Parts: sequence; C-alpha cells; structure tokens
Amino acid sequence: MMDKMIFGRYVPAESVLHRMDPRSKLVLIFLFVCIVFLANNMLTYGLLTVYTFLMIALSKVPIRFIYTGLKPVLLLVIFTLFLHLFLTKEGEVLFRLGWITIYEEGLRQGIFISLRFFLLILMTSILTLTTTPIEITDGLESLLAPLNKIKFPVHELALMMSISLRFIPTLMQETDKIMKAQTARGVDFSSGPIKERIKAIIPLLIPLFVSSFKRAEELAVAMESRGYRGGEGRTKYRQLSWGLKDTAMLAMLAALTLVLILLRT
Amino acid sequence: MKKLSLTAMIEASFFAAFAIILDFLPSLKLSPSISISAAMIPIFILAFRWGFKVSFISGLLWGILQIAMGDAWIATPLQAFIEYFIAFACIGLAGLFFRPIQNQLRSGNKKKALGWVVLAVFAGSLARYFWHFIAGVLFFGSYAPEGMSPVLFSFLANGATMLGAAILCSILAVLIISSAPRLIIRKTDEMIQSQKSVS
Repeated sequence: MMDKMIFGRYVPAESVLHRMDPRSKLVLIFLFVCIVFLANNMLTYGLLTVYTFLMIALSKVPIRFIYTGLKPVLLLVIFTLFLHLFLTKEGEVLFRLGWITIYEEGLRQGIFISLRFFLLILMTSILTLTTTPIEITDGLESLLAPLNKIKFPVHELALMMSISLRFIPTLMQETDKIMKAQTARGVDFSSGPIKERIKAIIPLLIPLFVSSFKRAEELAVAMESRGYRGGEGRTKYRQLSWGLKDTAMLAMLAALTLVLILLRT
Repeated sequence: MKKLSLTAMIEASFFAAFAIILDFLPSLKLSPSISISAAMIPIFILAFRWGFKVSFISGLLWGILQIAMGDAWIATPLQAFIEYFIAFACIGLAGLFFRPIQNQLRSGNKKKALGWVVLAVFAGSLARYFWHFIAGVLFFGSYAPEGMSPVLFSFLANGATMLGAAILCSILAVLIISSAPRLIIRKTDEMIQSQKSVS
C-alpha cells in the first residue's frame, strides 16, 4: 500500500525507456495519443499494435504489472467491442442466431475501436510504469515553462506537486495512525449501516486536517527561513538531460506517423 | 495573477494529497458497488477556508497528480484535458461562496452558514460533473456506435454519480464544519495578510 502511494505505478527496471528524459517520454505519449486516430485500416492498426508491443518489450516491465493495471479497463474494452458488434447494422450479415445478428461492419468497427482504446491505455501505462511521478512533475514543469510568459504559475504548480508527492506517504501514515487509534476506541470504518459509517469518518478527518494545518505552517516557516522566494533563479537538485536516445525515439515516432499517413485510406 | 502566500500553497498541496489518499482508502467507500467517494471533501474544506483561488488550484493539482500517478485513463487528448485539468479544478468553484460562509460563521449564524456550505458543495460538484458529462459525450461520441445517444448515456451515468457524491460530501461538510468551525476560520492576523494576497 505504502509503495503504491509513493511511486504511483512505477516499476523500477534497467531499460532504455526508464533512462529516457521524462520530457521526451511525455511528448512521445502525447503525440502517440494524437496519431492513434490516424489509423483506419488493418495495416495501420497492425503497425500501431506492433509499435506498442515493441515499446512494452523495450520497457522491460514484467507483463503481470501491465496486466494488473489493465484489469479494470479491460472490461470496458470488451464492452466497447460488444456494443459495436450488436448495435452497428451496416455491411453484410456475418452471423445470425435468434435475435442476434452480427454485421461485417459491426465486427470491423468493434475490433478497430476497442483495439484503439486498448493501445491508448497500454501506451499511457507505459509512461507511468517507467517514470516516477516526481520525474513526470519535473518534465511537465520544463515543458510548460513557456506558459510562465502568460502569467500561468508553472513553477508554483510544479513545486506544489512535488510537495504533494512528498507528503502523500507522510499524510497516509498519519491517516493510518488515526484510523487505528479510532478503531481501538471501537469505531468501525468498514461495516455497519451507512449512517454510522459516515459518522465514523468525521473523527478521522478533523484531527487529520488540524494536524496538517500545523504541518503546513511549519513547512512554510522552514521554507521562508531558508530563503525560498518563488521560482526566479532557483536551482535544481534533479537535472534533466536530453540525450541521443530521446531524439532517436522521437524520430522513430515521426517515421511511424509518416507511414500511417501514407497507408491510411 | 498575484502570488499566493506560501502557507496557502502548501495547504493546497496537502489537501490535494488528502484527496488522493481518500480516493485510495478502500475501507472508506460506502459500498463496493457504488463508487461514491468522499474524496472531494478536502477541496471543499479548503474552499471555505481560503476562497476560490486556492481551492481551484488545489483541484487542478489533484487532477494532474492523478495523471502523474497513473490513475488517469486517457481516451482522447481532449477528453483527458477536460476530465483531469478542467473538471477537477472546477470543484474549486465552491470557493465562490467563501464570503457568505465566513461572514455568517463569524457573526454566529451557524445555520445560515451551513446552508451556504450545502449550496457551495452542490455548486462545486455540479461544476465538476458537468465537465465529466461533456467529456463523456466526447468519449462516447468517438467510441460508441451510432444509434446510441451519447448525451443521454453520459447524462445518466454522470448525473447519478454527481448526486451521490454531492449528497455524501454535503453531509460530511456540514458535520465537519458544525463540530469544528476552527478548521475553516483562520487566525485574524493571517486573515489580514491573506486578504492582501488572495483578493
């Protein structure tokens, strides 16, 4: 539970994708999410599938981690497939059984659209499986830096994200402690009538919030006394470095995009 | 855009973290089949404590954190932007009721203040789920077959969840604020400072 809170879904491993700059990974995933919609025939979908599985292989993340992340969405993918199978009524009839009729177009659409959904989920999970939340924060801060010009507080947001990520485990521990303390007094959080359970949440939340106000105050004082005064000129402990592999990966995606545009019908 | 005070920024970060934590705790879910969670409560408390700007940023932070931690699911770029950037930030709209709530509480009108609290919780939930509804229409528009009304489906699905979440959150907010009003009333010297920096 604790690890899950700290690292999100990150799975450590030694791979090209793990070592890539978070900025290039973010750009890569963003572009992929856009170009998926270019595919509209067997060949283009095939290419996208091959690319996605190549990425999974490159990431060296054990399949079971990918599978656990997929489980809740898999049902939705299958649901999409069946929705199209039964509701699209175009093309030749492929199959008829009682009141169920499956049309050619329905099968085609069903497979394509659920495949698209499936590939998108896979690719976005590859990002969070190979990149820690804090790296994603650093990457986002650097990519969104131009927004500073229109007075959008990118640096402040990134700092707040780092604080959240840093304190999620701490606050979680505190939640756990208070829950245990209340359970020892006979509070039951997980069963009983709804009214009682709502009442049980109150003595958990109030001490939690009160102590976090105190902690926030302390942290603010600590930061100010160490000279924090906003983003300008602040140096970083974690440096990002763009390397050859980042350029190569993006070039590969650009090539894929070009091929998709040429092959789509 | 004027800078927020450091305390406000840190509290916003902590409360976005609380929202994530409340979403994670399975034992606090009211029933396993209905996913009505109390996760919005921290953002609402912040809205009544600091006002619109802080709660808006805290909500936005919650949305981005979900993307960074891999809890988000992305079907189209536009859907992801609406669902994780705009929708969660809009919970902060509850903070627009900051003044009446503070004024009523300070002048001892607890009942009236709690009335405003309920109104604010519903406004915030409505604002959030309105965007989920729009995202749902977009999503089903590009994934569902023709012949199924994406508008109706998205409306029913999001409407039901919204009502559940809003009712649960307003009960919790009323209980919390009536038993611990000090959570949303800041000390006066802070108050003067923040009025300079927030408004």
